[in-house]
Amino acid sequence: MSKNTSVQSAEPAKGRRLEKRNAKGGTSFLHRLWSQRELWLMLLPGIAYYIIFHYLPMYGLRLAFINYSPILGYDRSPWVGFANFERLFVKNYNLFITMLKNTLLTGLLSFGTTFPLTILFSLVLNEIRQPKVKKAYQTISYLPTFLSMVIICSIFIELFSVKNGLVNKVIEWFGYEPISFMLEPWGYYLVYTLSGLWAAIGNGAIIYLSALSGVDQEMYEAAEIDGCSRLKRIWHITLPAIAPTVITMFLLNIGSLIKVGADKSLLLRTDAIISDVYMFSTYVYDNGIAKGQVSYTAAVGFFESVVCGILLLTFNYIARKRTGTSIW
Amino acid sequence: MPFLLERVIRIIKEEEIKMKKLIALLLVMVMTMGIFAGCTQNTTITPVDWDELPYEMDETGRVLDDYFKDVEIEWWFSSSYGLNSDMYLFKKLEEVIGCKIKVVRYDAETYRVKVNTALQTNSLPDMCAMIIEYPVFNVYGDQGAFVNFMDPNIQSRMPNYMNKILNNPDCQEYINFYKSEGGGLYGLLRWDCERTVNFGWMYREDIFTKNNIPMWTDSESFLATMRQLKKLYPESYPMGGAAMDSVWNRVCTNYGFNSVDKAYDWDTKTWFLGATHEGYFEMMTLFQTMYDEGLLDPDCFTNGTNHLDEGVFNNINFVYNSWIGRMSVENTYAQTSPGSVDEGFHMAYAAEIGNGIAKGLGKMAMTGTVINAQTGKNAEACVAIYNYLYSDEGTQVMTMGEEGVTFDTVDGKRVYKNPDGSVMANPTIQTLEEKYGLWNGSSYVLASKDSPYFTFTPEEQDAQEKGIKGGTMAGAPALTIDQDYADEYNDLNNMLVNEIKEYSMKFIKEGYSKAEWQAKCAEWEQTYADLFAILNGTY
Repeated sequence: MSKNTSVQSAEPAKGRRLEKRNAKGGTSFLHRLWSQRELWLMLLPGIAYYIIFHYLPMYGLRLAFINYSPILGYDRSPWVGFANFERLFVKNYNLFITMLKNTLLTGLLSFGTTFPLTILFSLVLNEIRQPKVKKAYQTISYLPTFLSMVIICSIFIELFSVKNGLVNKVIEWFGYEPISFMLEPWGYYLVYTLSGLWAAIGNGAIIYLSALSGVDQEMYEAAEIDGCSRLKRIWHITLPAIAPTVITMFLLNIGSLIKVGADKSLLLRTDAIISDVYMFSTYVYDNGIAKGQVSYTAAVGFFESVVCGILLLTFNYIARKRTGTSIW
Repeated sequence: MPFLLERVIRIIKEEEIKMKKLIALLLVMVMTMGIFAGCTQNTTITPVDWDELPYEMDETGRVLDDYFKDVEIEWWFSSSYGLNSDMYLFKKLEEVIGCKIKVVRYDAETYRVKVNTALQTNSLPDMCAMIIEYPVFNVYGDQGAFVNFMDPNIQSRMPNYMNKILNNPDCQEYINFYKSEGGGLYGLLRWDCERTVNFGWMYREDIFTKNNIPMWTDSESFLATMRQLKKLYPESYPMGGAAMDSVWNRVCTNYGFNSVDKAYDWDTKTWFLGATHEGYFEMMTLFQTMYDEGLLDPDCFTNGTNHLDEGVFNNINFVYNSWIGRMSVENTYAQTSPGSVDEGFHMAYAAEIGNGIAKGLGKMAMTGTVINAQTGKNAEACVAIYNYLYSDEGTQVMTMGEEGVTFDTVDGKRVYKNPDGSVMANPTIQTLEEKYGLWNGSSYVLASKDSPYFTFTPEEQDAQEKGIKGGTMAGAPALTIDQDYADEYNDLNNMLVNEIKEYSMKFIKEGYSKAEWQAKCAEWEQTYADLFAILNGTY
């Protein structure tokens, strides 16, 4: 018995009806749907999850336009239009500008250090020749991922403490006065950035290392033969090889410029620097969670999400035009 | 034969493939249905006719029939201890009221999130303590969310609450502060549960005795004492600090006002910005001087209160301002862990500074506990529970327990015992909460004066007597604002609280001259004029 192995056989496979073709010679959607029904069924829970938990809740954006009371519910809570946005942008204009400035500064410092340093770290790890040493460094750098934010912040607060902190002990050893890092805005941002870097660098490096593992080693050998130094090999071979990954990670994280979480700020900030570090997220926490002003803080969150969306769309477009790599 | 075998194998494989496809299809359908099954369903609640009292109760509030036998209420708690339905308190309440009680307990941070989520989705349990401020939950109460304790029908079911609180002449001046705009009262009120003194200055008595250092009498002698300690112990920071904004809000009465942000003048019955009071400048100048001279722990702005213990145990600090129970804890530790601290270690209560006037502890407080009005018969059971807890018997049960169960009387003295019958070594309100569910912070409303809370350790007894020697100043009353201006109030209040905290910290770190402070006061008076107009009802 001969087996029909050709996918483009003139005769239909046994048990399958001849597919209908449309005017352009392609198959209709419904027919494709039916022929791939198992795949679509497997996809169904994922699609349902996104629709139910990500798209349908967008109806909750209505919160920003009503004066929400959980007792009255969505339908009976009075509609206020743009009053919540007016309160944010007009009545609290000075506070809005302060929060925007602090959020962008925090986001830029955080993203601006963590993103390139993670790439640099993975490049350095990749250059380590002894596999055991490489594994050890990778494991050690990944360990902070398992620590909660509270523990990380406690560690750094103790590290930078005036009396017993290691950093101030070193400063004193060099003959200088200890510094109250947590009472200065620059000290807060320093600790914020360093703690974020320490927590994220190991986790982020894994993605780049897996991209680097796909680079053809023969290219390195050929470059070495051609007399390329190590730095030149990194610049001309390694970086172009991981460029799509870098761009994708950039696009996936660009939202963190404006969507900065409140938890670390709440743990690290002191009362001495509130106005210098007050952000949208901490404002939402203070007013939305603690004071029940759900509609107003929904408006603040809505504003953040719109800005994130604009950033993502813009950078995705630029990336697609310039490099061909984009999320969509 | 081989042909037949091949055919059979092919049929089995085809069947197998079909079976696999069928199983995969069923699995996918189950997973999809599982997502939909996760959605909650609204159960139908039978509304209650509050006009009539459907059960009999005695004068303590004990329900005499089985009206609640089919009711199970859900009661949420925030607690560091593993509260559960099998504990003495809840079993007792089940016996008295006749309903079942399901205790759900969370740690403080989880509780905050759970309660707020439940509130915003209108899925609160039968009873819980609100995390949001009472002016906000009063708004929800007026919308029908919570049982209204000013409703005559509810009051007729809570005669003990009426006697102890609403009809108590001593309570009248306070109750109105907690009412909503609609005249409702939705949170349960606590009355006369505070000690005379609960916070204050404490010091290393052994160090003072060893070095013949006299107790200070005012701010100047306090500063001189700190300098003396610094000379004797150059590596130390004589005053320990933690939660400094709370410290300033306590110490401010030593300087003639009762809050650093929203202060209240009881004579003129007006609110004003505490940081504009002359006493604020004097107080902050003292702390700034101490910080500058290395007399105040530089980590006071980031320390948790546990650092206070560490500070005194290691001779880094010798004086601090905090909760008086800390003295007994530290002294007990010193006695039970010899060698870990100086021999003779002893913490004692110290004198006030400034004018010597301590901050009075208000007699009335809002527990924040509300009863969900939308749960039908469950709400009735909760009302019955609290009617009982406001009775004398209920008060004893909540704060002491019961003779023979939580304590025995031996030679005329009350001896508390653990659930296993062994003697309780150190009966405090924390231990009673841990073992029996008593004294949970949001649930007690009255306190027996025979309870461990009012059975003072020698240090605490000393504090009760010394603490009010110079007199007391009442703190600011509970806030009431016109809800029409709630948005303006919240925005300005948020700004004010943060700004005062930040200014106070910067004052300590950098120091400000009188002229600079006065210029700042003028700026504040302009910026927050509307806030205080709202508070004073002149907006």
